[in-house]
Amino acid sequence: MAKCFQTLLQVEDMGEQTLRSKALAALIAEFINGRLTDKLDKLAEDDPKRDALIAQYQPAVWLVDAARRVSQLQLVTHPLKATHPDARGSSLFVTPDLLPVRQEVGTHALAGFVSDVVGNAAALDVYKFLKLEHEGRSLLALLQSGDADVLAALSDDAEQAEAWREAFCSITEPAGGPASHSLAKQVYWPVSPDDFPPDALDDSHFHLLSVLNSSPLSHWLYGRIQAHRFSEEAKAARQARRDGVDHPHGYHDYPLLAEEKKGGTKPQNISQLNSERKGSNYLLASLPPQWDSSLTRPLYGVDSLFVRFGSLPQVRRLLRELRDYLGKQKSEANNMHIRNRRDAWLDDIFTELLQFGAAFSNGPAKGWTADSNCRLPLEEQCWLDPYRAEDDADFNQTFQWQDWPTQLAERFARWLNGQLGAERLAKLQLSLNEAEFDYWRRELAHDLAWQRDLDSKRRELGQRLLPTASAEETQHEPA
Amino acid sequence: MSQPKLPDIDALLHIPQLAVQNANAISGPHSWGHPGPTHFTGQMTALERKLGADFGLHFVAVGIISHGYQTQTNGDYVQRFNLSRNPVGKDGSTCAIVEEGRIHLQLSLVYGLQLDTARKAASDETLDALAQQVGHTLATLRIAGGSILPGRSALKPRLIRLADGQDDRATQFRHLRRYLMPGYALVARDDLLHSHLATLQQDTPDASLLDAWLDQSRLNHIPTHDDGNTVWQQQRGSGTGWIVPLPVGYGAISPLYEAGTVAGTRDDCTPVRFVESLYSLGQWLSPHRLHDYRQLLWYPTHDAASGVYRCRNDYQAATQTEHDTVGVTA
Amino acid sequence: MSKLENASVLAFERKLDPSDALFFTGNWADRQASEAWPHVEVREKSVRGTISNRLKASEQDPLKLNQKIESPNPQTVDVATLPHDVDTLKVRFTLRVLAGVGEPSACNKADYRAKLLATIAAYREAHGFGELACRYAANLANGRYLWRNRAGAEQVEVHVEQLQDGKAVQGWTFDALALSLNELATSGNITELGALIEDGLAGKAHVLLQITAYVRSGAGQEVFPSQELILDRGRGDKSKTLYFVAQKDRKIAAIHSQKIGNALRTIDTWYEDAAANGPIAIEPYGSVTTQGKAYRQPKQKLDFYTLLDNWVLKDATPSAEQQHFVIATLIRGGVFGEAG
Repeated sequence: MAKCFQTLLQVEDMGEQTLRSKALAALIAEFINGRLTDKLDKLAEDDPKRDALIAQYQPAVWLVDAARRVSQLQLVTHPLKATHPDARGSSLFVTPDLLPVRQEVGTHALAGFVSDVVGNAAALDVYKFLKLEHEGRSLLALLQSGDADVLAALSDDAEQAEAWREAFCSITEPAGGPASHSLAKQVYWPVSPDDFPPDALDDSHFHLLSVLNSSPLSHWLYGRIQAHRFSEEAKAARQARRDGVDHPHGYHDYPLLAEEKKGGTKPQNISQLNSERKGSNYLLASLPPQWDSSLTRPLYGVDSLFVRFGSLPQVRRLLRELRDYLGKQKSEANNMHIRNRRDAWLDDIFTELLQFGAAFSNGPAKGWTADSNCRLPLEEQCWLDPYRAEDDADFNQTFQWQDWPTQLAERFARWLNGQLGAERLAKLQLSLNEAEFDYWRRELAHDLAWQRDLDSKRRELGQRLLPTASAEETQHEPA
Repeated sequence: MSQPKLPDIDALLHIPQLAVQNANAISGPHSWGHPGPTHFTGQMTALERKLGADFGLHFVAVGIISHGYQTQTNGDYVQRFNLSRNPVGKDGSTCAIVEEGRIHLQLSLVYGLQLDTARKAASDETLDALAQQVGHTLATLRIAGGSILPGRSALKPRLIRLADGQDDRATQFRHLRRYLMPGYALVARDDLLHSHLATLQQDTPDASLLDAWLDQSRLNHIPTHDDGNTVWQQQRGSGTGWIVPLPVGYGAISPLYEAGTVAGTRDDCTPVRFVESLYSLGQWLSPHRLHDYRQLLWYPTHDAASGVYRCRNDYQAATQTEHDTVGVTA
Repeated sequence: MSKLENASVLAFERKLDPSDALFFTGNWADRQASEAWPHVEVREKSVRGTISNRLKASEQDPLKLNQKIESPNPQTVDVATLPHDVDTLKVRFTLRVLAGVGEPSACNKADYRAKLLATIAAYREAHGFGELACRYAANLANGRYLWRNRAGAEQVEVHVEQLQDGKAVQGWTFDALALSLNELATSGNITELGALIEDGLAGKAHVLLQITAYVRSGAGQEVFPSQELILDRGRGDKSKTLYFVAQKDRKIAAIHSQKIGNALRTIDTWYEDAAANGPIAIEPYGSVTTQGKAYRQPKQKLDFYTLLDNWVLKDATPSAEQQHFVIATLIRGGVFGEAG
């Protein structure tokens, strides 16, 4: 009904629309003629093929061929071959507006997007044709909306124009039924039929997910990163920083950015956008921090673990930042904010200490502190080499009955005061205090509880060297 | 819509210090590095199926702790993957290279388990034997496509039956925590993604979730002014901590097809859906920062309404409700 | 009954899973104390390239040539060598033998899967995995996985141990150079080792092996870890990058696990040119990358896909030798789904 009504309107408006229709026809003719000129330029003046070419590029002739060849192309957003060049199956066309709003990052979050094309690269001129723009809209969009002027521009024969419209619009439709492939990425995902967690052993508790890459998202990321790496603006900002001078804006670095090449020497086999990117696909790094285990060579010939600990790059950086920060504060400035910043730094430093300690207690062979080259005080030995207590009765005595966690916490406090300047801290009313000290001592003492717990589980010896203290008991013990 | 939560669990299973060779380093279409949580929840399912129904352990969630890694890459400013030799086609000609990124990993896993009635009542020795058996079975499986090498660690797998009270559970977790160091645990930071978007939108109203995500995935160098001097500062987004872009799961881009109606799938008895990868932000942090096992564990979820299949982690939710544990042991 | 068709999705995981092989060094006489041997480090070396390539006519002007030679072409390469006071390279890796030969990790046709498993069961009934296992054992014993390091060695001794809970429970020693690479010896203690691998493939035992090869190649000699394949090297980049495994701050020279796997499955002597060419690695088309050749092309009807289809779909059972080849390809693993 609505369609008939529309047709009626078109007839009535014919007089006013011919101008627009003419402009569209000119656009089409210009495009086809441009292709012809390119081809002719490659031929000699007297080449006999010229006449055949000219005939082939008559708009009506070219359009017949284009409407046939368009079936070799598919407009997509999710090309399967981006997963593997030899995969064959469905590529999909799913624009952001068709997707539900999601809390995660995906194609749905793209404000604007670009379509991609897969298929026979020899037919790509048809895609370029459909991308021709008039008044900000592509020919394809006009065809999809059944624009009467564009139909009239294609052909005087309404039936012929409609047939071509149908052919050209099929570019967004996948050929054949839905298909995945053995080279596509397919994952089973547990889905419960009810409110209980899914049962991994029940085959009916899964969906099979066939994963496709989002070409518009890859393209968006590529565009951003290319600009941030190579644009004149970025280069100028980098130079300003090197020169230490001001600049209207900053710049961005992508640490450990990786680049993969899709499609090898033939990126056009993957998709049109992949070809435009020369196969390049940027991958952002999601690597964890790397603990440098070379720092855990045995601590020989030093009088305290804090000698090594204080030389770790990350610890030196934290200390320097905290010192710099404290140095900028006025003595009367002590407030909640400053205290919180200080606490955050101290917590980072203490976390480094725990990582450092764990690297020794979980790392080298037990008993390494018994070596004659080890000059560490006993409380540090207890913390760094706890399993030595299993084989060494004297050491076990110390480990069990001396209050090494308190001594260790004191050492840490003394070392921190030395590094940060106790006087400066006092002046800012930011001195290390009893509550912090208690916290450190307890965290270090938790190690003791943990080690005993571990020992009791590990030891299969008839006689246990350590009392099998329960967690509750050991928590209260080293007070 | 209520946020999903980690289902109740009865036990933690600690698998210490696994060495994984040649894991897939391309963790998603837009990221590389350590395999993400979906690899580990997928592997968890494979493990439970391999152990079989009589084993009596139901695997609900998994915690991921990195102790170290070696990437198989080269390059300075931009990393490229070291590849294996060009394959040869059926006529002896060389084929196109399909890039595969590889990484060696040193990691520990902590599984959250539900125990069946028999296992709940089992002796410590029985549970310990089960833990060792899981360790052996795990060694025959792949982690993100990588092989598990025979361990060098003195530590053995350990099954910890959780106590009833929250405080006791917290104590048990604190004890476990130390086995996980030195290392870094992976947690979800969806909260940061959205709060950072709000921050960006104060200055740039049309900033998108993608902008917020990318801004947290890079280093920003910004000129600042201090007493008339220009000081260039380096910021990693506005967050603190080691924030990374993280593939957390998949979003549907097609209807759910009935089993057997899509060609070329891995079986014809499971419903099929075309999906794309979804990203969020994650954080690597010292296990010492975690006070509750819920902060560590990842579990798979499915939301039919939004068509989202993703892994979740209750780091943020558990942090907000966490009571101050300082003072418990004084 | 409907005709049985191929599964469009068909994949198998590898059943012989080797680790990277790491390089250590010490003296031949101290082999028993080799646990304490230091590793072989990958290090960088600057070399001054000389003009040795064939010159174009335009470049043969003596003046210009002199100029080129005077501006040599400094390059950085990776290198690994034995120290000047020790003569032996120790190469160590582990090999996990996994059960479930022929069980696909993915197969989307239930009837095909059932027929495939029945076919494998019939093979196992008739032959067992003994023939294949002995051939793998032979390649452990002959040190084929040492690749270039084996050539020119004075002596090569291989120790194979079965590990359980980190401890060796039984072991064998082989004189690798006494075993030719052109034939796969399957006698004596190789048979014993083969029987253990067979148990592993058949699922009768968890089999984890540790292989240690001692290669006496002479003090200060260069050794050969894997070379990395790096595309798009920039100008001024290192021109040779060797593989290493990082442990703490050490860069331990190593051979890629893929290359170890390739050597271990070099057991195909059932292709047409085998008598002249020797064993080649099990590959669906019998391809040998270093020779740029495929010895089992589809037109010869001896490629994996033709043989498997004949066997499973058409009940045309191949000869015993070609059955071995098909099963060995399944042990190798891969994605074998029908194209398209």
